[in-house]
Parts: sequence; structure tokens; C-alpha cells
Amino acid sequence: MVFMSSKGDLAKYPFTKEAQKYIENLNLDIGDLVSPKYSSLLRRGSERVIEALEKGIVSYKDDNYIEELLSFPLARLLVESLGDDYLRRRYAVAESKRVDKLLAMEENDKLIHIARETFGWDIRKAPRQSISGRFYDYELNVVNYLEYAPYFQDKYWKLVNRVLHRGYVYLRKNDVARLISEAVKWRLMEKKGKPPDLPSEIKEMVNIIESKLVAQKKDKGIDGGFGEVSRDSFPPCISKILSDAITGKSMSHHARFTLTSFLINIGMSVDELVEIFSNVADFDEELTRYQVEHIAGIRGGGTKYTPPTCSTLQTYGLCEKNELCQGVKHPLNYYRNSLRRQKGSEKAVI
Amino acid sequence: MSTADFLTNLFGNYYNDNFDRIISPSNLRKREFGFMFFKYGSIIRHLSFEDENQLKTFLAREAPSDVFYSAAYYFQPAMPKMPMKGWEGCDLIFDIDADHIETSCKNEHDKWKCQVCGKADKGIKPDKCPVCGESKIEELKWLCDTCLDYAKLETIKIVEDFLIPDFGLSKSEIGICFSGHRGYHIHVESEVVKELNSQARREIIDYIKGGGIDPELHGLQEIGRKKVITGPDTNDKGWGGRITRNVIKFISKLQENEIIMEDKYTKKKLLMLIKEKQKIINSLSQHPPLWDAMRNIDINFWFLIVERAINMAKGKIDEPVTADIHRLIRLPTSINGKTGFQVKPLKLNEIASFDPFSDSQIFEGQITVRAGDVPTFRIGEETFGPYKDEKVELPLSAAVFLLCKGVAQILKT
Repeated sequence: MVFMSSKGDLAKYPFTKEAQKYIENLNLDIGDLVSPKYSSLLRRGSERVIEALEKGIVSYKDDNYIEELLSFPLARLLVESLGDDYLRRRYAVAESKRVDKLLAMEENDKLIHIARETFGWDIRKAPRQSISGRFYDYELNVVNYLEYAPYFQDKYWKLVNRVLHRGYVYLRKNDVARLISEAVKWRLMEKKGKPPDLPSEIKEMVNIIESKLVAQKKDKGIDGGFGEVSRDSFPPCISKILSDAITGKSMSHHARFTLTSFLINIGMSVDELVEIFSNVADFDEELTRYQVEHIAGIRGGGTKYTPPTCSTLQTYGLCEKNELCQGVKHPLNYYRNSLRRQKGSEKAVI
Repeated sequence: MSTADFLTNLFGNYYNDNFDRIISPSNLRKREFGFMFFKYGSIIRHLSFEDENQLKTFLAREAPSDVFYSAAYYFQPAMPKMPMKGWEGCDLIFDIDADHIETSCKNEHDKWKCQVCGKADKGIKPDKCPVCGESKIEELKWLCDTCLDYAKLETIKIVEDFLIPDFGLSKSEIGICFSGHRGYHIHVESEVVKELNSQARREIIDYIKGGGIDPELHGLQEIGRKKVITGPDTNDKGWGGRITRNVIKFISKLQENEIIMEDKYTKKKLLMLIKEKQKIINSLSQHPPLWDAMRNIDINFWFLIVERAINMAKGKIDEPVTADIHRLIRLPTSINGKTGFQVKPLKLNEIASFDPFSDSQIFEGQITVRAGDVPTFRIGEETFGPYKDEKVELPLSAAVFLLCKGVAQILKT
């Protein structure tokens, strides 16, 4: 095999079919990993997870290929043994960023090989000709493109803004690197369930990660409230989108708009909102700030937007109707009613 | 005999007489079916059939007013709740309906009436009654050549401008039919589109409707300190070429008497465009095109022109139908109970000459009915009406149309 044959490649791309096969052939079990021979491997495994938590991106170390390769499944084992959604997502995003960076520096053929062999995509080299003044490296089947691109928020990724011809989307290397890394992220976000009994050496690492995780969640206010803004009074649709944002799930444009316009309208500041979105997978602070300010009416035409009505939210598939939604036609009405109910019950107590 | 009984008998006879001509959908056993009946108010769904024969026997025996099947494939289609059915995939469906296209004739032939205060008017039904504010409003949607021709052109456009060249679908994967009422349906059946989720289908909708399109990402921009304007070539693939071709089309159609309503600034620029029409069209048709031929057309004005060109080029489809991966759709060759017209399957090369008011008529004979308030309509070569509370003898197809629309009744004997 021409591509993905070196150990360096396996270490860089431990999610590929070839790397998985290599690991399988080593026939290791968990007991082997805790032998003193592998102590630095253990360290690298937990380092991957901690880098994800603290820096949001996993580094690539090329000093020991085998260790770099084997620490990948180990890190996933550590994440899965905690079973925390926030951690799983944060780790997946951080690994995908690492892959994105590395792939962008590779030869075109290597990306094609990985996309085909590991993900089964229908992808080929694009003819060397310019379209609207641009050159493209690849043609990717539109069906494969639509597996992941709809989850990116930037208008650059909308199909309508791409060159689409005879069922293929024309892409450049950075685009394909991004799509592959997104596919990696989705794979890592699949729950695998808690692993069976772990050796004490690994349990210790899990505990360290857990304490860091708890501290970070507390820091970011992931389980806390907003003070002035009464989160208990949010309609179920908004609560759902908000928890998606905080746990860093990819969000559709409609979901982002709904959440932002709702929170702006009940008095949350632009800074607080930008902070909420900072967990989302493709977060870009400048862009997010710009968009939030636009919705708040600080930029653009000066119009402050209100969230969509309940029926529109239904169309978007964002409605999470509960019994308190009876007769409510707008999420802001739900909030108002709910605040009133709360005040009412306070009075009743006095 | 009641009108409902009469229509039920008639529809039953159709399904009986045409037993061999009724089309059953592919993968029949994986499809959910739904039916409506003249004598029963709501839809009955979550039904499934073992084979073609069972379906056709059901149609002939039960004589439903409307027949629907799921675009989706299920492991167990007859289960009462969606999550229990086991979704396995879904055809890609497009609905092109005159309801979603603005045609001025609707103000002539569509009517509504408030059920609460009795206020009635022509045109599209308002959300709330302007007199009493209630939302219980009954509407009568009529059909006319203008509306249906428009929907037909849109259908051809979506297939020939989008599905074949851009999405690379082959003619054999694309099924087209007249809905039997106000529009057309496109069914795409292919292994690759089956598994697309709702999000992906929404991207396809946006592609066809030009939703969220950014001309800059298709190359329309100012470059360098001299602000040279560049843009896509007519030969470019996808939306790029489509933009330029439609800008040329827009400019070549532009007439002085059409721009009276524009604001002062736009009018001035458009007049210039009309004056220099040929020169601009020639520059844009070159390879590469010259977007900069007119020094006094700035980039912002181009954006405005491009926006209008996109409006001409985009396909007008009903979004929820395409995005919904559990949608029921009319069975081709069944009868549409809103009109008594056949849901007629069409080949791509048949659509242009297809006349819904002749070619989807299935009943023969004459009958006298009591017509209520009926606008003008055409069946075959003949135009009928308007009628106002009168007995009229009509060809059966025309009478069935009025009976289905609820604007005529069978005579009491």
C-alpha cells in the first residue's frame, strides 16, 4: 500500500482503517497497558484527554509513533469510563481539530485515500480548471458532502454556495480536511458504554480527569444559573437548545438564531451569549460576536430580532412541546407567563 | 343518493375497471398507506399491504376518495407510532404547488368565508378574519390554466436546471406526476438519496430555492485597489453560471415601462442598463466575462441585479414536503378526491404538452347536478360556468369536479 503505510501516518491518523487493523494485530489487553514498559503510554493517554479539556485541541507528538497511536484508544477508554456528555464532546472536538490541522499539510492523494478507505466516500481528483476564478482539488459525491456539511454554520459550507455539478461538489484541500475531521468527531461522539473493571493505575487517571472536569464545569457555570435571567422559566424548546450549546453540540443556523434572539430579548448581554456559544464545535469568537450583535440590533439595519413563533419552530423541528405550552404561540409568551406564575406562587407563600 | 355515495360508487368503479393499470409503489411491503373517504372526515393511516393484488382489491372494495403512501421505507410500516416503524430510508420528494407560487389570478378565482361572522372575499385566505379576528375561515381554491402552467414550468425547471445537471440524477431515477389538483410532484428514487436525513434535505431545498446564496462566494467581487469587478462565467458549473445566464436574461427582458415602481436611484441605473443593453450583454457573454464594462455600475448595483436574476432562476418548491422524511404522498394513477382528476404519471418529454384539464380526465358520460356558486372552469375543449344556484347538465368529468370541490350536489330524486 502506497499511503498510510508508515508508522508516522498511523500515529497521526489513529482512527483510520489501517491504524485500527495495526492495533488489532498487536493483540494487547488492558493488563498489558499497565506494565511499567507502557508507563509513558498511560501518561500520553490521559494527556490527550486533559489537553482536550484545557486547550480544546489535542497535540501531535512525533517522538514515539507507537505510543502516539496506542494512546488514542486509551484516551477514548478514559473518556468512556466517565460517561460524561460534556467531556465526550469536548474530547471529540479536540481530536477532530488535531486531525484537521495535520490533514491540511498532506498530499492530496492521502486525503483521498483516507476518505475512501476509512469513510467510504466517493471522492476523486478534480480536473485542473478554474471555476469562477478558483481552482479545486477534489470532487466529492454530494450525498457524502451532505453527511457532515449541514452541521457547519458558516454560509461558506451551504450547498448553495458550492460548485455542484453532475452530483459532485468541488472542494479544496482545507475543505476535505475539515469534512474528514468532522467525520472523526462524530465517530468519537458515539457512546461506547462504560468499560469493565479497570486496573487501579487507570482508575487513578480517571479520577484525576474527573476532578479537572468537575472544576471546569463549575467554572463555566454549566450546571449553574444566570442570576437575573430565570432559567427555570424557559420554554422547553429554548432549554433544549441551550443545553445543546453548553454541552458543545453542533447546532443548526435556526437553532442558533432562536436561542440568541430569545436570550437577547429577555435581557442577556452580548458577552454572556458569546460565552455560551464558546463551547460549540465550530466556535469562532469574532464571527459569533458579529452575529449576536446583528441579532441584538447593534449592527446591520438596527433591527432587534425576536425569536420565531411556535409554529415556525415546529417547522424547523425545534419544538419540544410540554403541557405548559397549551395555548402559547410564542416562546417569549411562555417565558412571561411562567415568570408571572412564579411570582404568583411567591406571593402565595408570603 | 347522496353526493358522497355517488362519488364513492364512481371511484370504486374506476379502481375496479382499471385494476391492471393502477401503479403500485416500489418496495410495496415497506410502505405505509393512508386513505381518505367521502363518508369519513379524517385520514386513516398506518396501513400496509402484502402485495399489489391486496392493495388493488382494497381500492376497488373501499373506494377511498384519496390514496397516499409513504415516501419512506419502514421495517414495520403498519406500526401506529413513528419510532416503532423502524425508518429505513425515504425517497426524495418535491412538491410544486400553485399554492406556493404567487399568481395574480388567485385574486380572481380563490375565495374565502369566515365561519364566525360570515365575512367573505376573493383572493388568498387571510390568517385571521379582518372583521371579527377569528381564524375559522373556510376557503375555496380553484384551478386555472395560469396557475397550473406556472407550476408546470417550475417543474420542468427543477428537473432540467437542477436535478439532472447539478445533482447528476438520471431521467430513470426521476418520476414526475400531476398531483390531480394544483401542482406537480417529483419523486426521486435512488439508493444514494434514500438515506439523506432531514438536515441534508433542507440543504437540497436551499440549493434549489437559492436560500442563503451569497454571490460573492460564486465569484462576484471587487478585486484590488482599483476595485475591478469580477464575476462568474456563463459556462461555469452550478449556481455561478446560472447567475450570469440569468443576469443576461434579466437585462435582455428589461423594459422601460416595467421599472416605473422602482425608487429614484434604482430607476436611474436600470434606465442606463436598458440603454446599454446590448453592450452589457455582450461583455457578460464573453469568456471570461467582463463585469466591469460599465464604469458606472458599481458592485452594489450588481448585487441588486443578481438578486433579481436569482429570483428568476430559483425553483419554487414547498419546503416541508421535501424536508419531512415521514411524509405521505399521493399514489400515481389514483384519483384526487379534491377534483376527481387522475394523479397522472408523466414522462419528462410529455410534461410540456400535458393539459391537466384534458389529459387527467377519467370519467365519461353526462349528468345533471345542482350547481351552487361556481366560477368559470374548463374541462377538455369546453369552458363552463359561471353558475349561480342552478341545475346544469354537464359531462361527467366536469360534474365530478364540481361535486368534489363541494360547489355542486347530486339532485334529490
